[in-house]
Amino acid sequence: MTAQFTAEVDQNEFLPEGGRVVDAIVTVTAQGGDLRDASTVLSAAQVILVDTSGSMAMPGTKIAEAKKATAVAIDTLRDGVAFAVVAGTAGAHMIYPGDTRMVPANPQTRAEAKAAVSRLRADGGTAIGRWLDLANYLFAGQQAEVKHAILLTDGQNQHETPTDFQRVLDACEGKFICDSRGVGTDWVATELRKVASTLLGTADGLEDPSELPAAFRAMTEAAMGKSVADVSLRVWTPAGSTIRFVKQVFPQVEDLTTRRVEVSARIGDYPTGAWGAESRDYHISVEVEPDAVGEEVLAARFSLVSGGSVLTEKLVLARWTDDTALSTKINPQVAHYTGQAELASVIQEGLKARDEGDVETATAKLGRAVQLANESGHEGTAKLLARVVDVVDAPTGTVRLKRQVAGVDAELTNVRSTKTVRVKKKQPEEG
Amino acid sequence: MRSCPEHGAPSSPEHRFCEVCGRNLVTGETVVVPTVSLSSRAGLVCTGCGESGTEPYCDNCGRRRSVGRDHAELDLSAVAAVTDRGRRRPRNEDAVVIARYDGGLVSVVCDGVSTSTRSDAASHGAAEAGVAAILDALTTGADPVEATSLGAHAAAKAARAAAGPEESDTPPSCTYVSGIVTPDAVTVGWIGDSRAYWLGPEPACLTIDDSIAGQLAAGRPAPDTVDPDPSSRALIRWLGADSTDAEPQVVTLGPAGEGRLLLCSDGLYHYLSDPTELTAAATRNQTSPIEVARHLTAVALQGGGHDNIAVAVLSFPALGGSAA
Repeated sequence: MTAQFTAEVDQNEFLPEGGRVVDAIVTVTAQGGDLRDASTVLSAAQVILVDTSGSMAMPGTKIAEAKKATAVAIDTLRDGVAFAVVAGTAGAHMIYPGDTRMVPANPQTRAEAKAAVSRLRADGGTAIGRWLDLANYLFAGQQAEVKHAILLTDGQNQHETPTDFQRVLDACEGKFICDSRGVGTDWVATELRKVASTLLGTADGLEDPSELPAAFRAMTEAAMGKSVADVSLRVWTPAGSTIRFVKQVFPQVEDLTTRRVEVSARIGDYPTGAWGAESRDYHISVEVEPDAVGEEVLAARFSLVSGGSVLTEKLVLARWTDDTALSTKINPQVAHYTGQAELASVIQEGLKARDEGDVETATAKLGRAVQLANESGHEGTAKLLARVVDVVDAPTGTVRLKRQVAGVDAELTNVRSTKTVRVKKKQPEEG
Repeated sequence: MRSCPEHGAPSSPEHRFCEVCGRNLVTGETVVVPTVSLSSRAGLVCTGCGESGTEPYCDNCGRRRSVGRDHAELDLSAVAAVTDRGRRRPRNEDAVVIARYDGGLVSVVCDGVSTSTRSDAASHGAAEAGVAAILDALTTGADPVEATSLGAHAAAKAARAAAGPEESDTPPSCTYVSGIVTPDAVTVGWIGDSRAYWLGPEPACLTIDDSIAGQLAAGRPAPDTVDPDPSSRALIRWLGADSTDAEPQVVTLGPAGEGRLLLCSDGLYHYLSDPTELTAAATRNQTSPIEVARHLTAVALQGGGHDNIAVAVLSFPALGGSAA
């Protein structure tokens, strides 16, 4: 038995007379007692891309923790999972195995790989695109259902042009999933978020190199736990309608609107990668042709599909009413995630303005971010923002930019800007 | 001379068939009347955009597919019906089914309750299941009273089944009235406020509305409901997932002469409810049941058509084999 997918729709289906915009939050959950059962999980392949640029030796704990983390990730691989370890500098070099191929994990290859990793030295530049390019080449020879890369970097992507980097990302899109992590103080959040967005993975920064082993284990375990590969979000919308946007809004904001692949005139697919036991939320917004009061229309049919089979399906309806008590009701989930998406973009815009020296815009945007984080109870983001701005009054979003900000604090705030929280479920009233 | 054992000699010795029942006077073979029924259910074409399909929502324009036709005319000669969306409602949620069998005529009218969603699914499911169960019972030896009860139970089950898994507060629901006309009697059963009228000698409304006002008007004690308003026309009984009611009230009439049984939803009797006036309207210029049904529908539309209209007209007596 494979994973059981279920979906729930949160929306206010009532529109006022002449109303056009239908918003809905769809929560998709994959579960099943056997999701972690080795006999039902998918075949997997993993490439670990370790930054070995010269800066990884400053301080030496970075390269030491990176080696430790890589060893932990190797130990976390299931027997039989094809793997390879690549050292990334201004080029990309095989650490294990010695030639450009992947080998199945077993006690012997794990030991050999760890020994090779222990001999790593930090020396050279940073060209992330080259690392991904080698990973793509390695994965091309694999039949595995889940192809997963872990990318660790401590620096800016200095030794290739943005155009070259983009070209590699485009070539890798849809070929494998990549989780990326920044360590130290010089990595660039926008680069890691771009890798995560394009390759359907996660991006984050680590405050301390000692967190690396746990992070590598978690990423490898998540990849090993995937039970359904190449899942697409399939959206049907009626003739005469327009899709305003399709976004993943939990656990992080990811605008999928432009990633649509047409299936037919009415149907489009949006990539969501591989699924294990997990839950994600999507926000879909559709503009429909208004109909008479009392009429009902199917504004969207929302399904998850993999390999031609439908995993779960939900309907998003719209009904026109002259009862304003119904039509003006704001769905709390829609409102919450509209706020979370705005939070992500004002943080990014605010930090960009700050980098460009535009104090006025930066203060306004980051002030709004503080206000939104406070309203939605997003404590993680609120704490990060407090490292970048002095909060005068959170409810009104009154802030002052800090004069001295550690570079990594701005990058951490940026890379985590897309992370969202869910609406807290109402506590049952005390009685 | 050849003659029919039931209806005697034909009017002319050359006739090879009995003029009353159609029996072949040469071979003695009786005419087997096939059981035929017609429903106001719509086809597969979306009333919104014209695309065909079977999904509950049109796969092209997304509109909820109408279960019933906006306007339908059903004609089996001795029994006929017309239903119309009216002038105010976006959809026709009334349903009507008529049937003819070897022994009589059957019809059911169901009025989809407008406060519930997709009540057209409940009304059509109930009307079709009701007629099917009545025909099944009558053709296997049940008497009309028994058949009426079986029909209502089958209709109740179908109305409950119309509810989707996600409908909780207001599942699809509808009223129900059935009529059976045989050569010697008229049998009516109902749940809700759709009515049956006898149009002929001593015209009468045969049903008592299942509302507080209806019960009080009939001299019955006020029913025990949450809404004690004596003028309330709100339904106190209906069919649907939120109702366990399935036992119809049943009335049987042995009319003194020829006439017609009328079944209708409130879309008609809101405009014309007096049995004598209805009889007059039904007999003025109209000769066939379909003409009567058309005329009464037109009366409701001219009156304003505030609600969906469903009208079924059954000839009495139903002449067994010669129903056509």
